[in-house]
Amino acid sequence: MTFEEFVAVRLPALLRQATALAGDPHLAEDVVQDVLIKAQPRWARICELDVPERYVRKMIVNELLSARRRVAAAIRRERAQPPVREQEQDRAEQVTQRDALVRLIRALPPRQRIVIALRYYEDMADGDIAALMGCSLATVRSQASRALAKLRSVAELQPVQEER
Amino acid sequence: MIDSEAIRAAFGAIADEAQSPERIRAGLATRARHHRQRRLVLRVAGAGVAVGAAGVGVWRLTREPETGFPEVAGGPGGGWLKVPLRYRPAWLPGGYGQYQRSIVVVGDRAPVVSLDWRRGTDASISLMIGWHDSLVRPEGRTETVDVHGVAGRLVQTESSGNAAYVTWQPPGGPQLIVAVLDEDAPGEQRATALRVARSVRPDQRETYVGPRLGWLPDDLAGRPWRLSQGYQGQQWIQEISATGAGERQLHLLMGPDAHKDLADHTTVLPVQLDGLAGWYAPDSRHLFLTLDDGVQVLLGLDAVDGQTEEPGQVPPELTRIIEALDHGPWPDMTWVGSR
Repeated sequence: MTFEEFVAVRLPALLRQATALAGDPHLAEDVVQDVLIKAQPRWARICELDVPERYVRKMIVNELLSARRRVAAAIRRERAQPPVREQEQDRAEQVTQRDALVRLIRALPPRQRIVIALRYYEDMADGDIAALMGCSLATVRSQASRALAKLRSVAELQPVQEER
Repeated sequence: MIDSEAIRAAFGAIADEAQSPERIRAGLATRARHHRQRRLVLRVAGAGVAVGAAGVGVWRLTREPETGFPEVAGGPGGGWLKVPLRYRPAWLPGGYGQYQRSIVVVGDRAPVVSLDWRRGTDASISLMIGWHDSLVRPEGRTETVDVHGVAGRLVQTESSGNAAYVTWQPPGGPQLIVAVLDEDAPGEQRATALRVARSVRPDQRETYVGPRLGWLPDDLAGRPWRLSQGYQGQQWIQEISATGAGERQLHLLMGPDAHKDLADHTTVLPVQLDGLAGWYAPDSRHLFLTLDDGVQVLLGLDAVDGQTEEPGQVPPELTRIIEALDHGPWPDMTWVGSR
């Protein structure tokens, strides 16, 4: 598969995945574009891998976790959407449960959001998430646990099944 | 009741906000077109320095440039190899300024110099002075043209975007190539390329190759390599690139901000090398170091196929390249933005 074929077929899905991981469509668009620019010149080597998309997705995750991106994303979030404050919680409880969840997910630290997205949206096993993120299984589980605790504590959500 | 389905639905709602892919598609198509055009004349040693971006550095120097020309804080210039420029165009269309220089180095000679001007983000004009067999000649619709009484060759390509190349060789001089890459119609592009070519005059100025590679693995030693000088923001940046066995790529980036935008600390090992602190990214085989004078260095070298490496250690060949590197003086950058 050539790079052009890959982009033609997989770009919409990559953008959706990156948007879920980033919690921000504009950041996701920037990241996907930068990653594809980096991947294009070395596509011949990436293509030698069994699943080139997995490699590209790893690049997206790495890019989202980079210090530069974290700063940019935080600035963007602060401008576009102030962090949840105590006095706003009442209002948050009045909106639908999904909207509240969406807002809380966006406010999670990137590493926690990515773990939760990969686990629940991508339906990946924790071991695969660890491999993708280049960290240990214990790190994945602790990040997931912290993320779920935040979702529960802020939105008074019911516990979700954590064992995978 | 919140369960995994509710979380999945929430992520699905976020994913539904994804941007249309069209902007990225258009951006990649434009980049690819410009990239292919440059590659036609700047490819070195059969594998494409301009393509090979195991080369984040290549990506850096060929990414869409900013508009305008900054005051770049360079240095005194100089180096181990003096390179006469020999020629320059006396005419360029309005708005163009020089933004990059490239030198092909073979042993202790520099047979090729390429000077690059740009206007805005989509138009560039290059003058390549000299030739080396490792370069690739442009191909396309060809006609014979006259450049001050010398027969030249004008090539226009459309398959990778509009580009016009004029190649000729003044009596007793090196081969010269003017390349025009812009969005103009082929007729205008042809006229611009010819006018620039016919304006080319001798130039007594010179430039230098500052950095020197004291050691390279066998497959890279003796091969031609390319030094590119440019800038990012207001800081200079130099890149050395070369191609070795199996088309593996060597990239060495140097500059006060060379690590900017490239450093990813998520999967790196801190290292101390030759008294310098830095880190190593095993996945990409990139070594990041900061020199005593504040210059940041990024060295990337593809592994040889089948090569095994000690986990948690910088590959010895990278260590040896860095230890033998003479990074030279800070380059003179006063030419940035000039005609």
